[in-house]
Amino acid sequence: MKLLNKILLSLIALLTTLLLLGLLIWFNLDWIIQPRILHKTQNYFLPKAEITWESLLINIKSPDWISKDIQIKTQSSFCFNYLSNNGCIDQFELNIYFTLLKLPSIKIKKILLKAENISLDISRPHAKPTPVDFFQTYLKDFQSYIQILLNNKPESLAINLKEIQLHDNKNNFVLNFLIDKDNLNFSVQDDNLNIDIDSSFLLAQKNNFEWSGNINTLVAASEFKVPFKINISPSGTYNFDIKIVPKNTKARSKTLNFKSFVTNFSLNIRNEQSILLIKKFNFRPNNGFEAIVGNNCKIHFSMNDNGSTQFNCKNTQIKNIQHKELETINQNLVMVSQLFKTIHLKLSGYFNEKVYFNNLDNNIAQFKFDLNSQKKKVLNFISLGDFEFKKNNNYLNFIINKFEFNAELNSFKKLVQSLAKTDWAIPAPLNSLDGTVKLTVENVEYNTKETVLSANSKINLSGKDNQKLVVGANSKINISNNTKNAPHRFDLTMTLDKIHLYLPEIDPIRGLPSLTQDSRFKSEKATKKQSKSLAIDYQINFKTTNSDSIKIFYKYFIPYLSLELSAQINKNISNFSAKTNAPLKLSYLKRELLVKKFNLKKKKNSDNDIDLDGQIIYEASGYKISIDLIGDLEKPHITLSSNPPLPREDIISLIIYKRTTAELNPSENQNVGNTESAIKDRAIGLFGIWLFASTPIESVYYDSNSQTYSAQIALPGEVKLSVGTNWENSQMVGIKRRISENWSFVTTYQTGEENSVGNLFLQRIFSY
Amino acid sequence: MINKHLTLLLLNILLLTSCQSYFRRTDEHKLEKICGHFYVQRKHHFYFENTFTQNEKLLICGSDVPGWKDIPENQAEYFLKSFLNDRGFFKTQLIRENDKIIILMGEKNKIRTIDFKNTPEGFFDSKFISIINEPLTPDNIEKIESWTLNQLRNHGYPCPSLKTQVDTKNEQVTVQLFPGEKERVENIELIHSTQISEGGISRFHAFPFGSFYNGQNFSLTSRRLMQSGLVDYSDFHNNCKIKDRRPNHFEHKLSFGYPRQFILNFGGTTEEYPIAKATWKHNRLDQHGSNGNLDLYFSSVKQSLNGLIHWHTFKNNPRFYWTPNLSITRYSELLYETLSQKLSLGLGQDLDDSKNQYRWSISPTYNIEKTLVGSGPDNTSFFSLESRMTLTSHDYEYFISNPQKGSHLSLDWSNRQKGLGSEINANRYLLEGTYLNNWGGFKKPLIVFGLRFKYGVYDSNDRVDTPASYRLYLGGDDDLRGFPRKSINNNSTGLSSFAYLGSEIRFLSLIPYDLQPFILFDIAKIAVNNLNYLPATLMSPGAGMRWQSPFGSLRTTLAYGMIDNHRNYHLGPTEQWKFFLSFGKEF
Repeated sequence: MKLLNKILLSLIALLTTLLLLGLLIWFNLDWIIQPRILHKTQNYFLPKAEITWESLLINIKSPDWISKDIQIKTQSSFCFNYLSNNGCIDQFELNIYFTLLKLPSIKIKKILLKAENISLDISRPHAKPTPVDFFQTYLKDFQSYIQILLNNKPESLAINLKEIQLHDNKNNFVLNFLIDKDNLNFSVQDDNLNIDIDSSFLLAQKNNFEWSGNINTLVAASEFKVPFKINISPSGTYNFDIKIVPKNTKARSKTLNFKSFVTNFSLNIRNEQSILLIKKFNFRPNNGFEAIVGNNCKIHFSMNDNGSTQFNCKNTQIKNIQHKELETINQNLVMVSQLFKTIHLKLSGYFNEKVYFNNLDNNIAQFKFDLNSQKKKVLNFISLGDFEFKKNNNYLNFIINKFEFNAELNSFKKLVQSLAKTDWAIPAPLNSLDGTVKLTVENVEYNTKETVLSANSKINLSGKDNQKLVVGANSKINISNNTKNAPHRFDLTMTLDKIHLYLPEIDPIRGLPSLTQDSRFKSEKATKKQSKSLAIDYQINFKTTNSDSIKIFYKYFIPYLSLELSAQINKNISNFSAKTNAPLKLSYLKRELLVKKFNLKKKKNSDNDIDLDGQIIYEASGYKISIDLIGDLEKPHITLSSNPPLPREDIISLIIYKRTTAELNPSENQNVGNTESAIKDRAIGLFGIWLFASTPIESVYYDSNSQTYSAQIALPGEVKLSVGTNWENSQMVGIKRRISENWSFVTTYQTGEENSVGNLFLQRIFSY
Repeated sequence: MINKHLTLLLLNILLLTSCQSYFRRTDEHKLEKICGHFYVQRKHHFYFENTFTQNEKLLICGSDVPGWKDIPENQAEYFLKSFLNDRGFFKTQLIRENDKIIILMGEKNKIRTIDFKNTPEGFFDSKFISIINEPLTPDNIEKIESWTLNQLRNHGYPCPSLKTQVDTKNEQVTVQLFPGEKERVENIELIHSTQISEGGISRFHAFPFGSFYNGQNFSLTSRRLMQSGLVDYSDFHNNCKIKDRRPNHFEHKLSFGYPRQFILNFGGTTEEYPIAKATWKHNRLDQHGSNGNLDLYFSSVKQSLNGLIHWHTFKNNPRFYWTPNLSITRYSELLYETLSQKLSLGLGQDLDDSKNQYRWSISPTYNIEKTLVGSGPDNTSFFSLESRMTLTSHDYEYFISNPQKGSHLSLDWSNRQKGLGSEINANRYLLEGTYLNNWGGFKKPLIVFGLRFKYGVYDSNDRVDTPASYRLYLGGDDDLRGFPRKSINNNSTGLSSFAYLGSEIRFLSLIPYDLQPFILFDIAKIAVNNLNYLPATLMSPGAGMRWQSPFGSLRTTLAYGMIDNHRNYHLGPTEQWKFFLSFGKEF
């Protein structure tokens, strides 16, 4: 009992001491709240920080026994420096009032803050929050700050902050605030994210805040202007009104290609469940569809682990330009329990209603999609699989245990039509074909390092006049979980069963169009592409199944060019070979050539060079001439032989004139000599050889110094064309110009005779 | 009546003005349909070259070939951009207006700078600026590459290569040069030259063995050979593409045609019109390439028959030659008419170093000359010694049909000695020279400055018995261009001496279509007795135009003949304007 009395007395003494101490502090608050004490406290807890507490003037008044009126203001600049946070507040004044009976409620009477160039580190030392954390913590926190602000409106408020830099490891935001009692204007700029927000925040009716402004941002090389208006009520409801309009509508962006996106939605954050209500959205793309319009989509988010999420979106409409009709997708996502438990999805519009998820217990989801085109059965789609979700610390791991996917496009033509006006339009001549495309994903394997997906496809298309495209492909896709350690990988093996296509009727003599950019030209896009290296490895192999799998039909090919092809392409090197197995007759301008062999092979250890091994047979004046082409495709080495055997110049003479050199006049002999020199210097490419062998040549000029040639060709109907490389130099120093088969203009220069410096003559030479 | 005409005139002016402004306005916004939905809008309508070719249109617009009827818009856009890139348009934009796809051509990208890397010494002795500000097209890039290779081959590098990169954004061309080894000409292997000895070919070489390789000298050699008629075709091969290429070794490919030729020529100038010339030639009289010509020449001024043989008999000295020559010529000048017959046997030699050709010849000649009209001996015959020395730079010879640089110098000496088949002593000296300078050394010359001089002396105590063709005259297209041909003639008796200096500044890139205006100024002093020059100065300021036509050059000059300080002397012509037109003749 004595002990109990002692303890009781000690407690009363302690409480009395504490009460007295408390009273002493209450009536002498300035003993504690003073710059010197604040400085010592800071030295104890944050020894590395440097803060100029002495610039503060603290004035504590007691209007009555139980109330305090504290005024803290700066005498000079209040500066701080701690880690990456530093700056000076030019002017600061805080006036708060509280009474003991109403604690913890505090009345803020005045806030005055004026500062410039303050740098604050906002990087978080810990890992990024998961989406669940975001909803559970940050939105709640934000909600409570708003609540405090709404409940404790200061009588006097003036905040002017300029150039406040908030930075973390990646980004650097620059903020400007200007706040008075009823509204807040602030702007944010960030160069890395290419974002610029200029907005105002004002108190609307019934304690509602209204935040409105403009966001200017640059995403994927497209500039966007986003006017927005958000209404925040004390109950935790946020109403958003947002319109996204790309600013540069004329210069179309390939990646973000749309006209506008307008949405109006509200977010109601509650402790148990938050609701996102999309009242209206209207997306207007540039190509394909005119608009995707929806309204009254409701999503219920659970705010804790065991909660449920519901999604309901009705009356979504897709306005299609091409068919001038409306398609409607009605979707009802009923319940997701414990994040994912049961999903039932009803779809109508393009597809039949055959989509369901079940067995979502124990974090395992099994699913089956079976989608058939509702109208004309354009696309059939079946997918089976099961996923596993595991929560590991704050992360949610997603594991694929099984995945199968079968898609069958029954009408390639429909796909062509659907994509016709888009950036993904199927190119000619493939766009004229119709048939089926099947894609099967056979297996998906998942481990901690990567996800491996095996797929195969079969394309079977055909078109008018025996056009065919029959191709099979097997592929394996490795999706790496960490591309820094191992890149993604794509393996594809294609078997080309039948590719029977036509070439457009391009007349080669009238100039071959440049289908690709000259490799010497480096565009801005290419430079950017080069600097960005893809974290993907790939190996693509393709091979024809037989010797005439590829048939190319062309006006001058009789009957067609058949090719056998094989290729291996990867990130580092590409190899390919193409060879003809059947002779091809080339018929052009009443001359015929027989292409007996035409094999191409990519050179080893080379970026672009292609090796040619070809043989062309030409018959003229009883001679059978063989033109063997070996080496570089662009400038091959040409070997000429004939049966009966003839000297090289006679063979060239036969090719050009169908006569031997003995029957030529001097200018024709010069043409033969020029051609021979050009061939020897490999100045004449493959096209030139064909041209010389297939067209009536009037004249050939070759300048061995600049290795340029020019040939004049006479076409039927008195049409004359000049082809070849630039021969400006030859023109410049030449002293003879042929004007017809026999006549030339010649400038003669003779020395040693009076008045005979130079004369221009019209000349004809007879040789014998 | 006047009012009516005035009203009509005003109406016409108004109509023309409004039409002009209408066309100007519509052209600015004119859309040109390519095909289908595709239209093109150009900034400079009149100056844009031809639109898309027929072949290109097949790929943009489609055709009836299976598979190529409908070209998707994105594919057509891709082709369009490729074709426009090929023409130097890299800033094209496509916009859609209603159902039209309009291609805004934008400005052409131009070649702003060319950066040559790894250039050897002397590479920039010729500048290549004519391509600057030209469109950034593959064709123009090929011109740069061709010029670069040409420069390297002219500076001793027979097998150069290069790599070109074009930065379209900064409009910069970077040419990385790989000149290879600098080589000397040590060995030339003749291909197909069984008909002619090695010396018969090497005498045409515009380079000595051991000199650095020079592509221009090789071209010049080939041209000399073909011009001589000895071969139909000549070219040198560096064999750069052959793996086991031997350095300093080159192949000379020759092609021989028929040895005999009959050549017909037709031409004319304002001094000699018309000209007809028939030549019979034998180009391979022996295995050393000796040749024989027989010319029949007819013009308003000269009619001649000339037989000449270039006879190369010295096996070890192929550049030595004999020139037996027989000529019968009738001159029908305004001043005189003569009939001249000459028989000579000359000896000559040609020499070449890597920059110049040197040539000398000496010909003892038997002359028979009749003066038909004008002053001179009625009928005279005499022996003379005709000597000639020339120096011609290879640049002068190479660019002879488009003169722009180089020099030429010649000295002629004709000598008659009394007692050596002549009744009088007479010496005629004629020193001539031409110097051409490509101002700034640009590849496509901007300005060519030309200077020429003639200094002639006729030293004889008997001017009366001197045949007209031996006398010295001035005037005409060859010297004083403000005076008629041979009009400065001292009352037809000829001058004892003259000193002439002519100059010309030709502007090659001032106006298009290869029209080259020039200004000229000729000045001369003359002596009629001994070397006592008269106080009178003859001048010819003027201007002219040269056209480098596709078949040869046409030149016109208009100059004013001025005579300063001539009161006490009668020189013949009066001050006057003179116009000349010539074909093929150069400064």
